[in-house]
Amino acid sequence: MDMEYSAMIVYAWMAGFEELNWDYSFQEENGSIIVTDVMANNRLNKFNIFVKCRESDCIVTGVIEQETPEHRRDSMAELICRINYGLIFGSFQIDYSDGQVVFSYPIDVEDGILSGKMITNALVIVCGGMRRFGDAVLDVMEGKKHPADAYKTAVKM
Amino acid sequence: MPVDKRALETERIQILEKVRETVNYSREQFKLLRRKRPFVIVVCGAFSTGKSSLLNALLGCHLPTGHNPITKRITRIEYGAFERIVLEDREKNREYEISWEVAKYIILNEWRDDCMESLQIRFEIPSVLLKMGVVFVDTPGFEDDAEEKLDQMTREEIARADFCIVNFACNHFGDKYERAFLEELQKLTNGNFVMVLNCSNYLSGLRDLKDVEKRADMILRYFGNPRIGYGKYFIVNSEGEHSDLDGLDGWLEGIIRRHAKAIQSDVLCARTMAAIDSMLEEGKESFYGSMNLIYTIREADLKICGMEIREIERGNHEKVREFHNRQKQVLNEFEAELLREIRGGLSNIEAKNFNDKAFDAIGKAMDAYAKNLHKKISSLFPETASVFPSIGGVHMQMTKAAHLSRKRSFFDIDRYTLGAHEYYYNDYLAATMKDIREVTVPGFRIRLNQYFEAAEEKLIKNLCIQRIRGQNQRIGDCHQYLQNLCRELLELKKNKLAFLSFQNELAEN
Repeated sequence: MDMEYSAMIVYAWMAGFEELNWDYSFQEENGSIIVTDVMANNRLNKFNIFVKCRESDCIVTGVIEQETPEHRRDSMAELICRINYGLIFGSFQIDYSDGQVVFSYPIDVEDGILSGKMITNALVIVCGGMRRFGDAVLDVMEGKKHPADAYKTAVKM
Repeated sequence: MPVDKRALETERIQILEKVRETVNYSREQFKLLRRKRPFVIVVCGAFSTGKSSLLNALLGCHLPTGHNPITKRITRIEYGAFERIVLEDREKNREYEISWEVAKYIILNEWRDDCMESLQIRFEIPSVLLKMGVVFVDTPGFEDDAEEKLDQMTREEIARADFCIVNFACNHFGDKYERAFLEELQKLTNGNFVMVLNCSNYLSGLRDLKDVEKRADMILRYFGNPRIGYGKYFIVNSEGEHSDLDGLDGWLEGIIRRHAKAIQSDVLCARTMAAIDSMLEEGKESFYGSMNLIYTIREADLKICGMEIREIERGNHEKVREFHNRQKQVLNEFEAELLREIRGGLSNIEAKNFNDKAFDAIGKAMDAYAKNLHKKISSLFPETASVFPSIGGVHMQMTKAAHLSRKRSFFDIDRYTLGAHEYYYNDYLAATMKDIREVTVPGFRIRLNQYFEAAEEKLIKNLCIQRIRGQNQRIGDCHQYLQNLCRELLELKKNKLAFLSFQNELAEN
């Protein structure tokens, strides 16, 4: 069966994780690399990183394990809108069907190579996003704060 | 920094082949894991430490031994219903039963002849230990060969072994080479080997024996594994009839009975994993090397292209310089050549309707000249081939208006007899040529210059494109190699995971 992802991109990610001494698992059938239990250094405690590799690009996603209850998904959407407005790299997204909140950062590697620096940058951006806004996401998820207040607190930090 | 393209190509091909070989090797080894096969024990160690006599004492066979004889050939000892010695020709797939004397002669002599390499001696004896599906392999000792050919043979056997017995001389052992060998063996067999300190009869007394034990405990304690035990060794005397194996035979039988299957799988996994790991490491280096090469090419490409374009701008590029020379030559010769062609065309025209006929003839001559010139330039500088299909035709269209406005006063044969302008119209051919020199040729020269400018521009552009295409090709090759390499490395990683999970299963059981 032909791969629907570039072996080079997958291998570059694996080599990158090995360089960083991060444990990962690879799902051969869909070209996803998963790193579980990444330390968040905030109330999130831990989150997972999924790297979805494709033919000429890959998407790095930080996934928050906790899901947003149905009645707070609108508030979460507001918070995400507020956060995304100021973001340059990557964006927060919410799956309205199950309330899962993720931070996604795509890398275009067409006609190029995925260097170690690009990998490190992607991880720094995803981890940085999670660490900076993790508390705000949790506050809104748990109904402790209004999205505007949660955002202000996160930005001030 | 200049990059040796050919060397890099060869290196890349070699590495890709090696990775593919390792992938196939690991697949075959994984198939072997499930297959029933004999338990191969290799006896190895430095030369003249009593490996053959140890096997004789252990199995009751009669391998040639003595003070000076040194084994030069791999010898296998297998189970047989009765005692016999067989010479195997692996190349022809034949076996010959031979006498002990012949076997001794073959084992103790180093054969330089290549045809002897396919021959192997096999001792068959009715031993209980061997009946359990065990095969012992006696090897030439290390450091007994200037060409290291025997060392190589022994190492190959170790690479196929399930278990090793490492023989040392009791009175001197544990030098840095032996320790290095033990470390290598630890990796290759995952600690599935036992150490034998032979020739204990050379020790002078109990004190010496205690010293040896102390030294052995110190040196050998890191080698082994939980199943075999760490630092497991036996102090034996395998020489002569009064041999003392210190319980090695019983221990070995116990290990084989209890753990043969587990050890076989463990060693196979360890060996394959070691091969996979070393290949993964090499593959990783090649991966980063090729990535760096792409960066280097791109960087060099920018620099070289920049330099080349600057050279072209200065007119220093060889091809552009050649083009300029050709242009100069054409422009110098062009007027004379063109006029000659036009005059040739005009001289055959009759006076009647001269104007129209002359106009056509001039057009044809200019067209022919322009086409000819374009052909020459295109053949010399193929990069400029598609500049203009024609120069003359276009020029004639441009200057047609000028000609039409002047032709009546110059060429009209009907006015020849009017008198007033008799002198002026006396030679209409000369008049036409004068007109051509003054109007047509300068106009054509302008057009010609435009043609050369466009051709030069096209030439420079194509030179740059060619250069960039070449570099893109190299980068494309690198990409292709990286894709293939990564695909194989992923396969290798997958195989490694399969071995790891098998090892875990083994450990759990």
